[in-house]
Amino acid sequence: MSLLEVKDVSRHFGSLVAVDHVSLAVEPGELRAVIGPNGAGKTTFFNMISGLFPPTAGQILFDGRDVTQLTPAERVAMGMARTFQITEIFPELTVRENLRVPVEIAAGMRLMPWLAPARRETIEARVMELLAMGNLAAKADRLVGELSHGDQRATEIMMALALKPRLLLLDEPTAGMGDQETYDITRLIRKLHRDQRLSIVLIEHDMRVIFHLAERIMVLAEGAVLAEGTPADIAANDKVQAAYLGKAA
Amino acid sequence: MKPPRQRVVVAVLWALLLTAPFWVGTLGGYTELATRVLVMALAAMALNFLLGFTGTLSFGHAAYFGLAGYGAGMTIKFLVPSTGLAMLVGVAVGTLSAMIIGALIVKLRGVYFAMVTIAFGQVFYFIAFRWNAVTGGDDGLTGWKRQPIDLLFTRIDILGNDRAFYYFVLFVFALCVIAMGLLLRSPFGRTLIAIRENERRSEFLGIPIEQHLWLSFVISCFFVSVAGTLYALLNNFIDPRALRWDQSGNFVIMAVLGGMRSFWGPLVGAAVFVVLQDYVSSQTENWMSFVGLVFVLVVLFFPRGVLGIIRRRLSA
Repeated sequence: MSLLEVKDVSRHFGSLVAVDHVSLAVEPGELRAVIGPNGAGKTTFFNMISGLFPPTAGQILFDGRDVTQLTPAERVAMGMARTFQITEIFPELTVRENLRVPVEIAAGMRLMPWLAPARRETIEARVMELLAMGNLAAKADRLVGELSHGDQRATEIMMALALKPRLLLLDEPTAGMGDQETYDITRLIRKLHRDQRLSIVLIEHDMRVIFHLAERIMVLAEGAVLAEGTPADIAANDKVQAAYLGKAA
Repeated sequence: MKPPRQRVVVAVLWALLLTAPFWVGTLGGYTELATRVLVMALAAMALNFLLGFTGTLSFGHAAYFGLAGYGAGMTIKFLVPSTGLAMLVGVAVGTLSAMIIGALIVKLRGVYFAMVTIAFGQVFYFIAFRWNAVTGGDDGLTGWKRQPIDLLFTRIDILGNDRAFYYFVLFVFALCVIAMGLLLRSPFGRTLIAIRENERRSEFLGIPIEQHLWLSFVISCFFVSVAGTLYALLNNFIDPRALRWDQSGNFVIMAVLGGMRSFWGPLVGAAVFVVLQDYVSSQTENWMSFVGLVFVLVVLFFPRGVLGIIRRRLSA
């Protein structure tokens, strides 16, 4: 059974058709990339999967359950986590505090009005683990708002991971990054996918990143699926070439 | 762990509060003034639980403050002459109303939330104002007094002895403030700060925003209700102005004046506000314009409030 199954979803904004009858199935442990020119509807597609708004038509199944009308928080509780194209973090809190919130939520403590010392240690250990994984340990007590763009992105990804998701949705994780930062984030994503067999769906613009990471690629253009296949298939696809070149020219 | 300096400041603060009845006199104050500072500080800190630590502005907290005050006064006047029971009833009335109204308004955000809280506050104000037979209408609820408290072996005369009442209020204040402080440092408290910092991120970390906002609103109103009962007991009187929108506005002014991002800020704001009110209103009827002037100056030049400046000085 697929972990995520998107069946024929569409989304209209007034007369604009942002996403037009798109389907997608993601298997457990798969890393799937979604690419496409600007305005292809990639982020709209993501927003429907994660629950920011419901589709106009179609159905979304997660783990075999219909989640089409569930709230984002309910989807998170089922094991879905996401990052945003424009980093969404808690800028005036430290990196440690940013991570602590999702770690405590994952431990089922979001309504807990106190914290027993024994559990505090478990929480802190988990936060340390995530700090190390994201290469953020040295900056743990800095305010996230003061960090570099790359470190903010890394923090956001670690926050999503802190939730122990089964499906991670990454919306352009390397957007606006320099070469070194792009490389670091790519390596981090690859490690998560390899070591933890985490299922990942990734929107990306940087072709190097995509061909480095993805097993299968879905190409969206003007809201519809243009092509789907392995990186080699996509690279050889004339329609994809045209869509991208047309945009570039 | 808090930095040691901040601990010293908090320790000094508690020491000042514990000894206040012995030194307010030498500064030209009186014990009842110190008590009023405590009551208003509790209300402003309760409001700030929602405003400063959840990021949601309520302009109608006086409704629960006043309702709790009426609840306490009416209990003593019509039911049983017991201070403890009066407080329980008052707090229950205020908190229950907040639970119901909170459920109706948590879908709203920002200015819409603030406007609707004002509207609900004014509803209660007009009820208190018009329902002469029960509330005493415009003249307020009179003909009752706070009652001495009987403990097992002793009796605390909070009615006849101003200092005894001050310490009674300080005791309740301390319980409430400690409870709020612990709540804010708990996992639940961190979800509220998360919502303040970034609502979208919080939602996508799995926090059901409306549920947590409702809880924060109810907790905030619970503590403002406690303050409301103390306010009625302090004056042995309550009138509709305690529920009116300008009283709500005063709480907001106190919180912002002192510094809404700091836990103790509203206490400082309340002290400045109440003392200004006391001194300036004995000189001129237009005391509010002075408070307004101070408020505007603070907001313009010290957006983090009075305590914000002190803290910056300390850490510099």
